[in-house]
Amino acid sequence: MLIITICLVQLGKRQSFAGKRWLQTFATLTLIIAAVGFLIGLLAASLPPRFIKFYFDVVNSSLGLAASLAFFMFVLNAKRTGSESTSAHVQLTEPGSLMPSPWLMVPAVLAGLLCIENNTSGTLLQSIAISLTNPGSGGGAARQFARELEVSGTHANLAGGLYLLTAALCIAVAVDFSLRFLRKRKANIATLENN
Amino acid sequence: MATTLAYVSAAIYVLSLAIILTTKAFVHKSLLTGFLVCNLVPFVVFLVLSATVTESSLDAAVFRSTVALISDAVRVFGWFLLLQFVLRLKRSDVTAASSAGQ
Repeated sequence: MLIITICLVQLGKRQSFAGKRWLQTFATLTLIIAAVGFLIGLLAASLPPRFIKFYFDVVNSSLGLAASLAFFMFVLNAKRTGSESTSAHVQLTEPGSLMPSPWLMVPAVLAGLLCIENNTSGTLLQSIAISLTNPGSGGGAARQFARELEVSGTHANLAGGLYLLTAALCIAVAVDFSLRFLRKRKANIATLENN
Repeated sequence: MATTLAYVSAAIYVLSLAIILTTKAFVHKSLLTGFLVCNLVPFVVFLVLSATVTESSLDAAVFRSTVALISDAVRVFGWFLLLQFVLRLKRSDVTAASSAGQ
């Protein structure tokens, strides 16, 4: 709690930079989680068990999720500001790098959420995993992965979700990189023709 | 519900880590990467523990509390890295301002 507080104070003193507000939100939410958790730990004997269970099941987890989203927004903001090359704020990234746009991350996140939320036996994950990895003959890795998914339950869903998330992210990066590369090449050819 | 939300949070941290690592020129990339890794360690430890240690003996309880203590220490170290990140940003700003003044 002490380190988070020092972080917050230092962030407050700091001049504006890309994603500062999101980083402050992240630190504040984490401080709230730590402080309330500490208080509940101290008062555990006098608090009703149902309240403690509700707090840790719902409120604490939701705050944790909100904090992770705030950090994600900070990263996206820092990256976008770098790409747009604004001079009003301090940049956290150098402008114009060949990296994926934030919107390409949306399908990756959705795929991950869908699979984590899916509490079925893993049949859907199995079919998606096979089609993603090897639509033709079905490689050994995909088959092994599908066998692992048949274990079912939360761990299978987590494995499937993270697997799809990574796969979607890789595809997004590859597509975006190719598009940017082609665009840059086209621009170079146009410049050469003009000269 | 808590477990699902924890999974989603971990996935978001992994995504943030992926963005930071794939962005070439991120300032103090190693510090932010370290912070995220330290944030993810307790989650991974929780997963491994829940999958492996199922017995309710005294040894298992001691083992659990020891691992919990270590993962807490890792998380604190992660925050120390984030503090370093903030402080270095401030320091680099001061350097940039003074060189601009000269």
